[in-house]
Amino acid sequence: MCHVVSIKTELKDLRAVKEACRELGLTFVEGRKTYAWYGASVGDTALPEGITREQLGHCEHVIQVPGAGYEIGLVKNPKTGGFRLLFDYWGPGKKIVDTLGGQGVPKLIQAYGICKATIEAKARGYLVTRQPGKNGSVNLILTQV
Amino acid sequence: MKSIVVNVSESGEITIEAVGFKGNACEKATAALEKAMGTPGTRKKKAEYYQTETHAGTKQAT
Repeated sequence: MCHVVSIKTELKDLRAVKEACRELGLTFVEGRKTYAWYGASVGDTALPEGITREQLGHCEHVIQVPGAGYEIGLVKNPKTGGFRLLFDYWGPGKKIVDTLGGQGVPKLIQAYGICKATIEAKARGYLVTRQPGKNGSVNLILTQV
Repeated sequence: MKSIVVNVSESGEITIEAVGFKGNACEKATAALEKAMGTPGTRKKKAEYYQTETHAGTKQAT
């Protein structure tokens, strides 16, 4: 393979994924089954766990990062129903890493967590206030309306 | 005042803390949220846990 990284955190709620993309200025392409990457395994790194060579490049949905030549694929984990993020971080994929804070795309994972928590809290009747926390974290203050 | 603070770390790790609840009212308040978030059920009990809720109406919407 080229250099495809699989992100450990699974994203389970597409509503939160879409909202996180909107906040970060990324484009969520619902239902597109292929994502742009190098296109062939060059065998210099191990395949992501549970992913076969043939599965690379295939996904359920796509996230586009502005200015990046490659894309992020959302690959469904049949065991959990969640989505794993796969992308090629080499060459044209470097922009993905640079934009989202590293190979683990922490900015996207954090935004997903914030959006997911906000959705769930609002669904339970909480008023949600967002505040900056320590060490780059974000606090959501939930109060009963 | 009762509130719940959800902290999302820079790497996306989520911790949920109930503020101003006494006894297990805190767990009741956060349990539904934790389940929805898929957060592992590790809890650190704060001093409030060992106090008794003294007034009615502590049940939170689930």
